[in-house]
Amino acid sequence: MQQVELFIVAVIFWGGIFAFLVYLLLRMMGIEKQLKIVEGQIEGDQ
Amino acid sequence: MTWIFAPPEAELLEYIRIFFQHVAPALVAYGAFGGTLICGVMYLWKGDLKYDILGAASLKLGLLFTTITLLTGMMWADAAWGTPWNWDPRETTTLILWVAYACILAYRASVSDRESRAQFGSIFGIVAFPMVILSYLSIRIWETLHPIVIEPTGLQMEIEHGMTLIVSMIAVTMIALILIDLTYKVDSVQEKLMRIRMSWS
Repeated sequence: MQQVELFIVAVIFWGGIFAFLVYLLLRMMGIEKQLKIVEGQIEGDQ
Repeated sequence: MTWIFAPPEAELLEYIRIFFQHVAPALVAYGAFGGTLICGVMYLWKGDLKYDILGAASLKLGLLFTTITLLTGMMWADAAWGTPWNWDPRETTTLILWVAYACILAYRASVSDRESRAQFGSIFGIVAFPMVILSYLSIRIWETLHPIVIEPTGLQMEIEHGMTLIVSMIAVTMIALILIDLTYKVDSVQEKLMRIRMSWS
């Protein structure tokens, strides 16, 4: 029983940190998409 | 070290290992909110947006580690005191602290005007900080189930547990600093992109 609870604690701790890393990764992917749109707009205007 | 080096405790047995995953994130979260306070003051003083971006990054990490603290604390409380939530002064003040900073984050996400977001975000970050002090001192002000571990004379625990706690603190602080740095970089790029889009349209 103790091992199960300790495993849940490890999942909470590392899960939280990795979830935050995934959030940052998704934001970076979003920025990349926005950057392509901006580049397209600039090229279109030129 | 948490899982192998630290020996089981006499009463709590293996559950003592939860302690390191609970206390280290809690202290690092207090530090991160301290960072938000300093960045808020610096932004209001200098007016440089980089302080606002850094303060917001610090706030996000503070919230992440407070969430981890509350959840691991519930596991710890269930093992040590029989119920996951006791409305103990430390638990209650930490929950209020979490709600206060979550509200600031929600405010920041909902305001589109950049200057207002930075100004009020900084002010709220400063105003919320006394809650961090209250949360830290709650076990000394009120009667509580939480033991006082950190005394001016040193850590009130076995030497192996004290060493593990210090190493955990260093490790979690390093993780927090890396994540704050990454968040700051992502937010800075987003900020620059927004400026380019606004100036182009």
